[in-house]
Amino acid sequence: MSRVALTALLAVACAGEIAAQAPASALRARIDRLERALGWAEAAAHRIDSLEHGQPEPTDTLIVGALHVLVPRGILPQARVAVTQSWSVLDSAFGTAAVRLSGRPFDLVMMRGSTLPPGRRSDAVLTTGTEADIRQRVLWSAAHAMSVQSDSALRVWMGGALVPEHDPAREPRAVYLALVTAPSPAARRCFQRDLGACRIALGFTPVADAITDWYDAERRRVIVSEISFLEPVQRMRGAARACVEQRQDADCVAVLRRVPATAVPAPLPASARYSLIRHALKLGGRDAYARLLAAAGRPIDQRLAAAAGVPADTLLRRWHADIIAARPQPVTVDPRGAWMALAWGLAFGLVALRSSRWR
Amino acid sequence: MFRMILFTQWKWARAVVALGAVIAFALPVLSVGQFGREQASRWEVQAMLSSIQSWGVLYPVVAGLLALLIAVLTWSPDHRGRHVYALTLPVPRWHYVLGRFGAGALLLAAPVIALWAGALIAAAAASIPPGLQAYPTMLALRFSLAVLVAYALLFAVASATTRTAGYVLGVLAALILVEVLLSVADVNVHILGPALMRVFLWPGPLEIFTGRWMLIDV
Amino acid sequence: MSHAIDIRDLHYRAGKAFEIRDLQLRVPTGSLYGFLGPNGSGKTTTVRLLLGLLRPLRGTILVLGADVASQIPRILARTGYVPEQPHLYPTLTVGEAQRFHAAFYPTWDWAWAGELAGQFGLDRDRRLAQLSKGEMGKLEMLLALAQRPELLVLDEPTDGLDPVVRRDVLAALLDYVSQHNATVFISSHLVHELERICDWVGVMDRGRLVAELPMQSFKNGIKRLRVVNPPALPGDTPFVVLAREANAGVETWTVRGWQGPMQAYFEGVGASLREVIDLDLEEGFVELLRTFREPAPPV
Repeated sequence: MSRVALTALLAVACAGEIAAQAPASALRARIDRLERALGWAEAAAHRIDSLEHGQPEPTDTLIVGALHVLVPRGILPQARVAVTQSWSVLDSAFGTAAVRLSGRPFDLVMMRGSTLPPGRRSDAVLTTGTEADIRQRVLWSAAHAMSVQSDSALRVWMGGALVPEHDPAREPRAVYLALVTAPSPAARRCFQRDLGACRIALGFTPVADAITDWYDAERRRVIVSEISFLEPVQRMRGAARACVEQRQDADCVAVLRRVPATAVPAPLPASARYSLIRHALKLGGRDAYARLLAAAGRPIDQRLAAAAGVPADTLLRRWHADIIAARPQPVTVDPRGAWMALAWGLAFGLVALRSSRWR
Repeated sequence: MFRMILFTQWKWARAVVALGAVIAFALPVLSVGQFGREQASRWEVQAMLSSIQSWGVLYPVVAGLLALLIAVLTWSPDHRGRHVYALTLPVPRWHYVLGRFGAGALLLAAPVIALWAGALIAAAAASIPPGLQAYPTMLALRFSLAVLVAYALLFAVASATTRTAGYVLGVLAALILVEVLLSVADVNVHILGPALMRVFLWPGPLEIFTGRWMLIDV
Repeated sequence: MSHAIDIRDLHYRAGKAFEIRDLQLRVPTGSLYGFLGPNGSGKTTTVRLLLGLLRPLRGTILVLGADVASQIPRILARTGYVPEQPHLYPTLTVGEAQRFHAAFYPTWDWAWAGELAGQFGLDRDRRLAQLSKGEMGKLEMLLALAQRPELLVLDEPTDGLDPVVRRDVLAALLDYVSQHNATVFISSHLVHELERICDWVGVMDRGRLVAELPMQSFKNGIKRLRVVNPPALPGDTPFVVLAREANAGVETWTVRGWQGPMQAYFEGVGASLREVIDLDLEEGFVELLRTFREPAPPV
């Protein structure tokens, strides 16, 4: 099983690189085929494992919504609570699309050392058995399962799985910081409400086309020097040297257009894109994620607009307003902390007055 | 009476107060010295924040040192005379201690005001990229509170008798010894770490020291 | 008779080595009270107790009619204190030390302070750290006097001072006392000095008050007698025999409470009194302490 899975995973991993050199539609079809193969391989491996290793430790199956979770009996009570909470979060995040999880049971296994217990699937969900850990790991696994079921274009753009957030304020805060501090001029213009710049910074355009918009000449030179060890850059050694040593920006652009898209750091971190998707899902209601998946093949901004049910610019404007409103707590003295400091000052003063020296 | 207490304290602490004020003024100014208007384009925001953050480490250090020196200097002449003079003055003792405490706190206002002035000037002189803001007043407020708490704590320690100070030091030494012994015995029990957490985290007395000491931030 | 200082049943312990037991001490108002005792006898401890610097285990201390335990600021406002060791802030100048001190005493007399500074030759602008021991002693006395106290508590005020400074300091003190009828409580081991100025004397040894009486009684009452053919046992004497020493048929008796008509006692017991020798305060002090430490006189 492991060999099959590994091959499939490698295929998925290579998809990004291949994508840089082949027409996008052909690649997408190929990746979809590979993914289907991965699903079959996993199911087959599961059956083979069961036959090879006999009966694993006794489990019960918890079914909450579309979530099917095999749970060791020892942690059943806390797992029941955690899985219920997880389903609630997944349901509100993916809406009607969450039903897609029903085809894939999650096998919860208690962590014992660094190896899987005999007879368990290698993709089993390891847990320490606490309620919080179970909740987090089930969420994580379910989000990855949802991600695997989405199309590659969406996955590549997102750069990872959309794991539902427990703290809804955390991500916009991080995006705010990213917008302010990113070295990309596009990101900083986006911060200043330039929606065109937001489109560029969020990667709505192909990397090769966006490279001159993402970064200025100095940053492009830095990026080329940072990725100089990559094989495609090695093949363009002359241009890379001219870029880094002689500050020839045209050479920098040429090099960056030839390297795999994933080698060029995006102007904004993945959290910026996640936050935009979440915003679209929030606006679009329970069917939003399903619409997002259904619009496969269209440009990302249009897919997001379809999911949100509003024009792309409206979505971007609302997202931007949301991010700006999430400005992190500025450098300030928390009134509670200030009062506490004064109270401690007073307390120490009183201690000084009560010193045995004065009595 | 308070005027004379303040006067005596000023006499023996003026060098420290003056030096503290100069340092407190210089810190914010120096921290943005490299971010003048003409070089603004060369700086990336992240680098700027990192630099400001590095300078930020110095504010609590200066606050703590100033508080320590002023607290020690507040009592050192009285310690030298074994407090006989202070104790034979015809005022309730708490009046006298309060006078000394107030005088020390008032002297510490000079470095605080200097820091505020320095921070205001630095904020006005620096080229601050969009999305970032200067917080001179909040920085000065945090500095003043940190100085006050540390001063009050050290003032209380300095007010104690040698015996009491010995007890305090003894307890600290015992904690360290127990921690070392437990670590040698491979016992996974930690005392110092949690104790320090209690001191430096809410609602601990030195929590004000652990906040963000940024002149410029988002 | 009213008392500026009235100590009753005072008990104080400092560790295991030293204690003051059942101290009863009364300083008549307006007197110059010499508080005598060898080093370590408890003089300074007693001074500190009556200024509220130490807290007794039990007993009461009334100073100027007020209880030390509850009214110490009021007492200190009316009391001038010159400590054994200089305790002023060395970074101040003479003028600043006066200003600091004056800020705490509403009765401070600037004119009198200026007069005393001139008399003592103290330069207002000199820092205390630069003053000699004698100058510091004078400044301490100036500060104690210029606040116009009703009671002066002086703890070894002239110890270590040269004779000229000592004379100046004592002269200023006596001048003030004569003008203001203040009470002076002066602790010292310099017996001769107290003999000249004090009218009351208290003797302290090992934490106990050995004697407390008018200076005149003290000086007159202790005599050394040369006795020929003394009785083996003195019997019922009208005076207190402190010590007997035999020397070639003649005995030397040290007695307390002697008066002239008591010669008849010797005739009555078949002895004869050859000579009555006056003892000065120091000799009397030594004999008193010796008796206190060895209560039974040698026979």
